[in-house]
Amino acid sequence: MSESPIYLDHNATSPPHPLVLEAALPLITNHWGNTGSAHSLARAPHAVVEHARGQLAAWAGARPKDVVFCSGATEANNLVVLGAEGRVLCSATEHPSVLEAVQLRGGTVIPVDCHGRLDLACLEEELSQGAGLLSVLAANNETGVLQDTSAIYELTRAAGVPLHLDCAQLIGRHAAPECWDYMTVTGHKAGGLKGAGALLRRQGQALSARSHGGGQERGFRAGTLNPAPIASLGVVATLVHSPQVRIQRDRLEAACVALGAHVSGSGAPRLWNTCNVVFDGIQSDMLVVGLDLAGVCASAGSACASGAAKASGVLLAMGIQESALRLSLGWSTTAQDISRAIEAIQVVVARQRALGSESWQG
Amino acid sequence: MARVVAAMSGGVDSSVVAALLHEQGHEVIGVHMKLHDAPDPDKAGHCCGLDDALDARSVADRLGIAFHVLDLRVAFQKAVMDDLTKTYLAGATPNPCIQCNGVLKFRVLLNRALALGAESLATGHYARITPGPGLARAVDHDKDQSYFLFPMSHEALSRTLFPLGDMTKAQVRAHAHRLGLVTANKAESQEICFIPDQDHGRFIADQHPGLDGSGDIVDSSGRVLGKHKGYWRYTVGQRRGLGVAAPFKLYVERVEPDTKRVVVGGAKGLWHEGLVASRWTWMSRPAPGEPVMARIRHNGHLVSARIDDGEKLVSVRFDEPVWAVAPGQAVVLYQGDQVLGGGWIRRAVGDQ
Repeated sequence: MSESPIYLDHNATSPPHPLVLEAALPLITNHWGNTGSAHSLARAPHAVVEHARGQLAAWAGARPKDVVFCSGATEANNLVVLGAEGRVLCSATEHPSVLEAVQLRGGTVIPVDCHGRLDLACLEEELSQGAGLLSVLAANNETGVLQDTSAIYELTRAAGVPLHLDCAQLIGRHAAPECWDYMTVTGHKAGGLKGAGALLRRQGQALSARSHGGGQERGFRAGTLNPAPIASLGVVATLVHSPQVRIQRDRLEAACVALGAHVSGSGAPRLWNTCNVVFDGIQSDMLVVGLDLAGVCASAGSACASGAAKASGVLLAMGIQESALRLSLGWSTTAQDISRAIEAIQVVVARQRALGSESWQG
Repeated sequence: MARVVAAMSGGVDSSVVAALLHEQGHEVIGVHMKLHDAPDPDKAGHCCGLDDALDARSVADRLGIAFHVLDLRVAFQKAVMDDLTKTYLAGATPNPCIQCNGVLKFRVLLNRALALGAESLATGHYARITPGPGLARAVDHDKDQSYFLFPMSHEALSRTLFPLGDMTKAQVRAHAHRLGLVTANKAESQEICFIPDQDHGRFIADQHPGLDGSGDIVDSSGRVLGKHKGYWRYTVGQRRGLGVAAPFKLYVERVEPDTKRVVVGGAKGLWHEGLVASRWTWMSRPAPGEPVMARIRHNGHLVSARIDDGEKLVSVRFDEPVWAVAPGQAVVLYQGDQVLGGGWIRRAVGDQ
């Protein structure tokens, strides 16, 4: 393969944006001091972290002091779900870092409809029985389906239950939701660096620390801050996406539909970058391998520890039994990338259909 | 050079296969089959543990080749795990390794490799593919695995590479050290990979809770000598674990699923003059009466034999009696190093 691979897996992680590199590299090469130190070398990294805090707060419509930086979205999700008082609720299409934490707490999982949208009647019923937290993935990592966070918030506020929104896939791509009590973000899905995330909370919402020690982040999250990815998270909060990428996503999706694919969550508003498609009769793990060999990086949803693709709980919750191919675009995706990807998909799907998937099962 | 899928278990043999093909300039795609959920993820040494997948991936990363894990648990459950249970419940002795090769590797995985645009599938088996295509014993007769490979179709043989068939184990390990592979010193995988403690009796009981297989241990005249806790725990020729006192050594002669009886007797009753086998795969079928060599278990002696002209059921008659023919196992026929074909043993033909 002489050409570099076409990267269509931005919902896993994304290539660093040039503005991110500009902001982050000096923190690795020169301004490597500990933000908590008392000497001059702490000043530059400390200033950068506080600047990023302000950028993030501005995007989210929050106060800088309400931002708790941590290692990533998983830690932020665990922090709020495991720390909540009382019964915790979440949707059936949450990221595992929420779903498993809720299950660990013996919480309640609320179903979604066939489009992947939270069942509001069920939610209202559950809220009426009392709860300490509802956690909802604002933009789904597998399907891109956007929840109606305003309608959800109306219900939670009326019930007096705090609402946590996981916005890991939203930041850098979409305006922040207005109504929330807690919010999770990370920068690396939209041009930022891996290794930082944040939990935001509205004034007055309780939070109990999961890690203890150095007193960083007002005691809510002990541990030395990691300025380079934190700076990148601040930059990502200021990025505005180009409408060009939506046009490319729609073109890619139309090409898949022309090959007979079904689009998951097509009945709901979706993030502009995500294309989740089911090709009848072809297992998506084979499509992912075939596309990889053809120079296209794609995903079949989440993977287990060994690297094998797992059945998607998100799609099952939507009533979709088949395995799906996830193609997720981002700031670096070009029209030429999509043209090449469409060609590769056509070739791989045709070959795998011709060589019969029924012979792959024994 | 060609695109080749290398099945990478995480052991030394398949690691060396991937490395050698890569060295020869092929476009090698490493594939690890996830076959079952390892009962204890911290327990190393069985083929589907996480450690093995990670070892395979380390080797692929070091070589700089593509690597993917394919989830084949459903196919494995059906073709290998369920087959093992079904065969024991029918009073016979299954051979899961042959089932795994015949169905998982050289049907399911091979078909997937072809669908990925590969020309062939390479594995770390010690056996050779000869022009024709035919199947032959490995140069290293002590390591030879051709017995496990007889169900390979003509099509499968023409699409398969066994790069280790011309090598000794020592040569393979030397290559692994030369290439600096992390798997160079790994121990051989053993026995049934999905039953780490090899207690198949408990495995079957776990699969079918509530199933009562207990019954009598009897001699050939029907006299009750003792009781057992599940007839599927016994296999023809077994001597240990009978729990019956006798003036001479007792062996399992026969397992009767209908009556749940385990029939035992002296060694004399286990010398068999022949067998009847079904579901044959032929690479090159010998004429009736033509002298061939037969093997009825892996690493078993080759004994001279002749077959009849049966179609679905073929009788194999040994020139001299052989010990403990076990229904459910395979009989594989050879001429020199060449495999002529093989079938699944239905019943022994005794000398009584």
